[in-house]
Amino acid sequence: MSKESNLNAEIRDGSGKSAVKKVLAAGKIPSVMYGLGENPVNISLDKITVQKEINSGGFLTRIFSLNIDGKKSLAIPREVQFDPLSDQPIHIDFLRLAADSKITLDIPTRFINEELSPGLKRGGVLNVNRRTVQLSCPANNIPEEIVFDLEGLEIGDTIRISAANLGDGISPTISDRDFTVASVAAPTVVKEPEAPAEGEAAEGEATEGADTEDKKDAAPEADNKEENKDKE
Amino acid sequence: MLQPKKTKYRKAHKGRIKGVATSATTLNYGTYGLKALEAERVTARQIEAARVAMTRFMKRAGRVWVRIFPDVPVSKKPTEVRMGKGKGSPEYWACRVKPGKILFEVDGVSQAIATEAFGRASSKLPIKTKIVEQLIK
Repeated sequence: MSKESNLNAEIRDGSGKSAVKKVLAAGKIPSVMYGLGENPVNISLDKITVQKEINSGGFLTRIFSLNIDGKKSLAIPREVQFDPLSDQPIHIDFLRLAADSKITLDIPTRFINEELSPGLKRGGVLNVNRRTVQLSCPANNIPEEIVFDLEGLEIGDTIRISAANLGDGISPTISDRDFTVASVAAPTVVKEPEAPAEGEAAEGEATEGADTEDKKDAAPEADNKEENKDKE
Repeated sequence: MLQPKKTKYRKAHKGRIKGVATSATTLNYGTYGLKALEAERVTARQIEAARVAMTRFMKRAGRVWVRIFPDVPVSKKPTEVRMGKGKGSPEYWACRVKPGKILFEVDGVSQAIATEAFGRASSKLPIKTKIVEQLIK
């Protein structure tokens, strides 16, 4: 199970654009917490602490114990909004959790033993179809990641969800088929333009020269035509 | 070079690029991406030059995704022609890029190679860019 992390939060007054801008200017991140049939609460979190948590990885699959003005409640981040330019977090949604509840989460995938795959050694590319897989899991048993072994995979082989060892009570939300998570694809070959032979190159230059001369000759004619039009 | 297969109208207004991008601001395909930091019209030639620079540096490894498409026809009058007499003929295709837009994505290569490839691609583009990577893993 993922360990609970502690976060301190404060209740924030007001909502809407101007109130949120003030919170951001004060170095905090506006957030909201909802779920379990209770009223949503507008809160704000310390920006530096949250950024550290985000950069440490697995932010959306970790349970947090939010200390809101002395009152603790379990919650999981459901969505993080980032500023499109600075890539700083600007808003977080938290979902309240009960200890025995079951939730649907996007768990990241990880691929190991790349060096033991003959297909990748020969220049194949690991084409990841799903960076995350949606799983239904109990709140007290959230996997940090789904690990897939690439050992022995050749070019053209696919890795399916059945290859993963999911824990007890954890199942993918797509249950009607054994879907593909990744595949080892053949490398894309870049076609470089072939260098022409010496004789051809000389001919090409000669013709290019002729073309440019033709254009030079044609240019004054065009100018004359335009002048005539203007006169008319 | 990239260009639309067919268009409803041959010529388009010049337009102005205002605000920041709201779509395609996060990585969707690759691990690393190149993000625009300025607003500018990026031509099909520039996109192709950047793509070729990246793929040549990466050789056969990895994969490149181009997230922008030049769908705006840019017209130009011939040289030494007096003003007036209508709009010029379409000369090239361009894409209006807003700051925050992901231009290229790369996957299947190391961070060092991706950084160098994006550096080469960035030098072919008329805008300032920055390299981004998957934030939430």
